[in-house]
Amino acid sequence: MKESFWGAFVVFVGLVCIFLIYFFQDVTNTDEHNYTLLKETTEAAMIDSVDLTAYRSDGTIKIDREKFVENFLRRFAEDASLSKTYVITIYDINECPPKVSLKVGSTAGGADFTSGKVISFDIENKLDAILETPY
Amino acid sequence: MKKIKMILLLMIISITGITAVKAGGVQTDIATDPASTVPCSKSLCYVTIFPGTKAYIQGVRLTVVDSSGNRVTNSIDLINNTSIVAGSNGNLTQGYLNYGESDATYFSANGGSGQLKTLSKRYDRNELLSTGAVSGNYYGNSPSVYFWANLPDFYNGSASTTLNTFFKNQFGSTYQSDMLTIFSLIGYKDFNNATLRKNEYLLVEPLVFMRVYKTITVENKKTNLTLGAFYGTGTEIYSMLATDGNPNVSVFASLKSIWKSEIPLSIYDTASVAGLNAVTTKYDNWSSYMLNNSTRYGIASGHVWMDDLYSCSSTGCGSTTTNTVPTNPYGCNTKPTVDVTTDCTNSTTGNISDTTDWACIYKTDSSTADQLDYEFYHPNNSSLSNSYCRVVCREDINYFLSGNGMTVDAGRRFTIGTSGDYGNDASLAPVKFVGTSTCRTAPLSGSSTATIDVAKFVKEYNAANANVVSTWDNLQYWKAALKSVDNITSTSSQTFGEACVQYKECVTGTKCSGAETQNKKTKLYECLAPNKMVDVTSRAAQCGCETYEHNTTTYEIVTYYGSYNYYKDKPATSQYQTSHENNAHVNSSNTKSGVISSIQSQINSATTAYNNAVAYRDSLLVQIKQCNNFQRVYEEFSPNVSFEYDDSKYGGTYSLVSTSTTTSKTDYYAFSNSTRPYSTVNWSTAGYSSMSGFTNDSSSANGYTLNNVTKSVCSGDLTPCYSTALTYPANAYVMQTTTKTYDYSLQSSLYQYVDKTGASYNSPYDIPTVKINGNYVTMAYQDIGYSNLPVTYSSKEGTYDYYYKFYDNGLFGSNQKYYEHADESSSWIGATTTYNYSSSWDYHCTYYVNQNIVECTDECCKTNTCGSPDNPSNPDTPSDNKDINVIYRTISLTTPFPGEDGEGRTSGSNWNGTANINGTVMSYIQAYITNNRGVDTSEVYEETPMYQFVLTPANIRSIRKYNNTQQDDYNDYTLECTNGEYCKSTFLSGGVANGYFSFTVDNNNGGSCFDANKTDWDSCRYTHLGG
Repeated sequence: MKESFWGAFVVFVGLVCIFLIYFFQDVTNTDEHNYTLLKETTEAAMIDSVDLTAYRSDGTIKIDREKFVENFLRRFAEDASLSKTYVITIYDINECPPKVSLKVGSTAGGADFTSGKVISFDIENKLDAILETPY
Repeated sequence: MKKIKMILLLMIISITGITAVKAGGVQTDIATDPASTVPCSKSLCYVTIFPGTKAYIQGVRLTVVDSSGNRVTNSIDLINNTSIVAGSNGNLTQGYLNYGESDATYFSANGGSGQLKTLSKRYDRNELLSTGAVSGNYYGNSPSVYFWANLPDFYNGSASTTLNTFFKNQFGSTYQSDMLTIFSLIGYKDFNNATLRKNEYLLVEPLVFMRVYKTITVENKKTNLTLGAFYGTGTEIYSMLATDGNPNVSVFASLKSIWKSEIPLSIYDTASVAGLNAVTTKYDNWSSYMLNNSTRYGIASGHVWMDDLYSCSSTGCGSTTTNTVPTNPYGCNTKPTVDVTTDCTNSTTGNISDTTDWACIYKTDSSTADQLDYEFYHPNNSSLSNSYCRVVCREDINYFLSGNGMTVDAGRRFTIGTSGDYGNDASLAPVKFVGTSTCRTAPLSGSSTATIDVAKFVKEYNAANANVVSTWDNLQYWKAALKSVDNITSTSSQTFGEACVQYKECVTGTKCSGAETQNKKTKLYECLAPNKMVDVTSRAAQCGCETYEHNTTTYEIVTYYGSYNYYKDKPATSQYQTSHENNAHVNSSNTKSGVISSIQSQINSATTAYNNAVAYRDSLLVQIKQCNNFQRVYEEFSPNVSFEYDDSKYGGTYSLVSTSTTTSKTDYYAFSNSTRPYSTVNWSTAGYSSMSGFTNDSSSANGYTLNNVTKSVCSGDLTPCYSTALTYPANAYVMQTTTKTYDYSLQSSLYQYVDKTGASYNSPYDIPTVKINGNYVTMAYQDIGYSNLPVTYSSKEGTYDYYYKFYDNGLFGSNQKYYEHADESSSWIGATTTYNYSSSWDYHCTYYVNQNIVECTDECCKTNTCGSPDNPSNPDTPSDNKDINVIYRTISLTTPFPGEDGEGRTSGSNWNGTANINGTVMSYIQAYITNNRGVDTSEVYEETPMYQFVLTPANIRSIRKYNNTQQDDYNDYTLECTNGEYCKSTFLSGGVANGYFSFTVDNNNGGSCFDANKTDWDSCRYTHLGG
């Protein structure tokens, strides 16, 4: 019996460890994925939203604010995980010179954000980026 | 055997050979001094020394023929000895042949006395004559020839005196001016037509004058009896001798070497050319060949290929030296000075100016008005024509074009001729054309001084004024005469009786017998006319027969004499008559009414004469003022300028538009030799743009030398004229200058509109549409506000070409003199047949494209191998896609630009600048990074988000579906903007409804800037909602 108990304990601990390994691995991967996705998407969206009209007009490097937001959402959605819900928060967009500050949060599984429940995110990534002409 | 002397004149040959013509060449081999070798031989004697002391060629005949020998032009006989060319007035002027032989034989058009008809076939000539053609200028009663001073004497001396050297090396260069004149005289115009020119030859034939005579003895004295005199080329003379039937021709032809070989081989073709066979064998006797109708040899003739002669290239022939003095009827250099730049590396300015030699210009004012055959404008009669001056004008055209200093960034734009007008825009400037017309009073025909003929005006004005007084006095006389009719000063009367009273008219030719009324005697009467009955016997007028009755009643005629003074002590008189029975016995013209009518008629005539006299006198004043106040509107000067630049997408040719300013002034000179103006008047040019030709402000009399002349003022009935002083301009001459300046810029709306893709358009209607909410609408664009020329984003860094063209539609204006009024037969500027300026006057320069921000992404662009859509072999063009050459950096809000040394680095240029944030001026870095949204660094994350979205897996699927509908093109530009700014995304505005995202509870409106518009576009960033 005693041996059986230890056996069961070992199995249980094993399962817990497997869960923990899976959990932290998921957290780590999600964080890494989210950051990479945030960084790359931000770069692509900023470049895409450069206002060529403004450049031809007065030579300034300017981005279209909502063009950036739209572009970011569409690009982000292409590579986002379908198993997560993301909150994309854009704290600052300056058109000229171009600068953005934004944060992406995600959690495993769905969550009813519209129900008024308090949501705690598993992962949050922030990014501040600019476009700079060569100096 | 008769002793015959033969004289060879003019052409005494010694030529070493003309070679190197296209089809072989020409050679001569006579190297003799006939005077020393063949002065006399047996029975025939001749000398060959005339007029020189050696065997000279002093004349040539020039003709242009084609490759078959057909005549292209007339011929011209050119002789360098003035004693032979009588009546010539100088170089290349026409005279007549003067050898002292009035009955010389020569070919002519009509074959008159002493002449042979022009041949219609080539029997005796070295060119083909078409039917009816005449051989140049030697027809009529005497051969007409031209004196050519620059034609050397040709003899067998040094190489420099051979025909070959002269025509091959000097005729088209050293003597190019003479050549052009000669070509003009013979009507040769193909020298700029490479196709025709390459099949044409200049035929050179030495000229010969020969007199054949024999010596006879008269009264024991020997004298020379002329048997015949001949003028022409060698072959012509030989033919004439044969045609003339001269019995001696066969003798000296067969015996004398000069006719057997020396003349035929004086110049000959060494290869078959222009329809003549080559001389490959040098016969000792060419007699039979000279008269051979079927096989012609190139003897006594040489052909020079026009291309060899005239230094032709692919773009034209001959030198375009501008300082060559042309031959024109005025005998002076009327050609403009041309300093045209075709590349900015040489100069950015150009100039064409007429001569400043006014004496030369004056000579041309007798040419047809407004025609400008010889360059200078003078107004037509309707604009300015009077007795006291003429006007001629000269012009200066200067233009100033942009250089190669412009640098423009790829993707940006530049303007034309608007430097400084649009901030920091790159611009090519100036593009300015300035035309100056200077008109000066010219001497009147027959006058040697270039002055306004003021003395003539004074003389004519005084005479006209005297005539005004005279006609006024006459008018007043008749007005007084009219009054005298009612101012009777005396009368007289006379009683008459015995009148023949006509009862009725008799019939002409009838006779009647009747008793004379008075004597009651029967007489025979005849009616000579309806009112004339005569006594047949006496032929005296009588009353008789029953139709006429002698009236025994007496009657009285009273004469009234009237007088009235029109001026003091100057009476006008009149008289009229009355009789009983209502003036039945008074001629109607002598009645009072008749006299009044007559006087009134005189008054009318006198009034007309007076008015005409006044008008004429006043017109003289107008004319003298016109000479001083004329102004040339100068509407002819209106250049059309276009710009062409090298750009893969927007490059092309664009017409430029201009704004013009015009100034006009007149300088007045007191004396004919004055060099400084006495005074100057600046005219208003208002209205010039709607005028043409000349305008005149003849009412002005200020600002110049003034004198007085007496003017009689006449007014008031029966009042004499009185004198006043009239001021008139007495300037010796005037110079009127009109300057028009055109500044050119781009036409309106050129590439003024830029859509969100960065493409530029001339109109919003050209901009592509995008589909928004199911409707196609014009893509958002920005109106830059003015025209510009874009530079393609993908332009590779480097130097690019641009051009200005100003020759289309007439050089400096379709009616401007350098284009419109050029003499096309001469080498004048603008003559389209001789100056191919349309391709050679392009102004070329370069600009530099700096690939600073936007890089070329197309492979062809990177390798500089882009073609164009119109080039089938290389249609690969840049797509205008761009890769923004900016650096994406993730930054720290506290240290955004860290340096390697930890002390920071200089930011990129787009981060250099200041911004005013809510009244506080700060740097970009501070305003937008370290103090972003008005809070310190990362505190921005505590602010209310500008945008916040929740993406659930369902939202993500919806967005992906939308992306698929857009072919994964993230640049669909479904934006709604206000003139290209404050752009709102329709993707965002419809995002919740379309299931693309949702909002959070805390920011259920999507953030402070979601759905912001122009009014709160910036302020929403600074909205603190306690986030």
